[in-house]
Amino acid sequence: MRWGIAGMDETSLRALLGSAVGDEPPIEPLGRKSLRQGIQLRRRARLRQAAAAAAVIAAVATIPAVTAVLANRSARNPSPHAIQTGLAVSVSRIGALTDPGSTGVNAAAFSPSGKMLATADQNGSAYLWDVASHSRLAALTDPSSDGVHSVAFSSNGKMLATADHNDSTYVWNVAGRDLTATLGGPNSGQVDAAAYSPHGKMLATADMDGSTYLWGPGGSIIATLPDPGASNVYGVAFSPNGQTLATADIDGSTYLWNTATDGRIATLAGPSALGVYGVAFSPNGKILATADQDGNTYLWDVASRRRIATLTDPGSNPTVSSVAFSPDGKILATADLNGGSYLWDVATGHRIATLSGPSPDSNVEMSSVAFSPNGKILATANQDGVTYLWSIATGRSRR
Amino acid sequence: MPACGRIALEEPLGEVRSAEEEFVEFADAASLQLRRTAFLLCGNWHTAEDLAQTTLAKMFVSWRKVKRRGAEHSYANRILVNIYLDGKRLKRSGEILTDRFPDIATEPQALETRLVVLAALATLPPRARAVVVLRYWEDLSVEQVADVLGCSPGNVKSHTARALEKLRVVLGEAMNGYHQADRDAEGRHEMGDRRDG
Repeated sequence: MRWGIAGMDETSLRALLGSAVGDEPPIEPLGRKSLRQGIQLRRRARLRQAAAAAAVIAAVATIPAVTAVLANRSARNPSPHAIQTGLAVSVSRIGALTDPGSTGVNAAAFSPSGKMLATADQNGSAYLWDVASHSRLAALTDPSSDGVHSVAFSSNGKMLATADHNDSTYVWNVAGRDLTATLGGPNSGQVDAAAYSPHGKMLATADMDGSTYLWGPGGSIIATLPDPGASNVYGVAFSPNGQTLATADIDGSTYLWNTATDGRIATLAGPSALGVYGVAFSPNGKILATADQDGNTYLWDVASRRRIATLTDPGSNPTVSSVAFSPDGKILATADLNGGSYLWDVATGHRIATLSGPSPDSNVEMSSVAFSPNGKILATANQDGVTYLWSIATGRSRR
Repeated sequence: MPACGRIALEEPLGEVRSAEEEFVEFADAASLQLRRTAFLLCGNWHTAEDLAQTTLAKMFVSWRKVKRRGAEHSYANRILVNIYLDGKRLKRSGEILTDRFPDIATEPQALETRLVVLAALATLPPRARAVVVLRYWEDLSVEQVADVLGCSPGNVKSHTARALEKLRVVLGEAMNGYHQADRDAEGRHEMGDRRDG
């Protein structure tokens, strides 16, 4: 038998796929039709951009003190690695943490004390690191080891949640390094993201089944937030007061939810309808940053739900994979799938630093950025299995 | 603040027209293959055409950027797969497994193979199906598929391994069934015999 169980190799699969398209009906070339549709899409995007530009003006007008200071400082001596604007930042790489047997680091998170860093590896383990000594403290390997997508410390630092490709989220006791709970969603999709609420009472997990689940301290589901488009949710973030949850969706929208009533309170529609990969609230809860597959990071005014700034990744055909605010809210760090990581001045929207990996041209996807709680260290997690630590020092630019 | 995009009137008209012509030329040339790839993803020619057209329309929105970067085809794949995966989420209860039988007479063996392959593809979860189509139809490398799907190469490899295993089982069973039925009916089994005999 030609296609017996053992007989179907990759070559015959190619042939089979070819035969599957064998009866295609005639097609009129789609150039003109798609051009008409494209022009409409572009027009709509422009209208939205114009509305956003108006919102920027309105937003800037409300923060005169900050803008006045920053506007006086012009960009002088721009260099590829530190473009000077109002906010000056100096960056240096201080460490490289290599996951053993890594197949790619998917995420990194600092413990609330800043002493530990957890990395989520595609190889199925999460690793705990000592931030000061750069030594590996422990490997947390979940029972079915299918790739860890996300890690999150509870607010007291005692628990670590690991979101797994295999459809479960695992909760670990950090001190004892032991597994304390397995949280399986009802529909068993892979879990792409996890976040603890600021007060540690809830854990939110983003499931590939299109729902975001809120788990109570006892490990039971206390709410299901159904994705309006039933798409993949790639990122979740609680607002600093814990009252709002943001979910980043592959449909290009970010949804805001009231965590008390579990109701959806807003839809922040990205201009491109490409997926949103990451989401972060500013420490004061007023700004939301979304990492978009279209290569832009968008800043949204949470109160008015308006898009107030667009930070354009300078890489070639970039996808922004992760965003993180510094604890003082002045800097936003972004990572992209080209291996680029950038720091941005939140007040001006200017790019103020480029973090070069050891091989900037290698196109090693960067999956995650995280600021330490004191804001002095930034961690960037890479698909080559290495998480880099960077020292971040800020000041005002002087000439 | 970075510029929020220019207003249409600021663009020189000549440049706009030639960019549009460039786009139409690309879209005309790409539409056939794009629709085939879409068909393997969704299993239905009508939806495939919609997917291809929407993909191209979205490309036009950022056409100059795309053109400048010179990776039109991989960008097209990325958009196509995203639209497909979105659609799967929207309509996951109403999946259409196969197209209708065509009106025109087709060689029965080829028709059956086609339907079996489509039915087998339909047993895969959407992302795994996308991986198979990109790897073995578009002939992309593991890294390129990872780029299109926005996941790690390791993730692509694990999807591929599991998908192949499943296809082996499903196709193996289905093909055995078909060939048996063929023999019972009229003994026509040229494809099955080619290797055996």
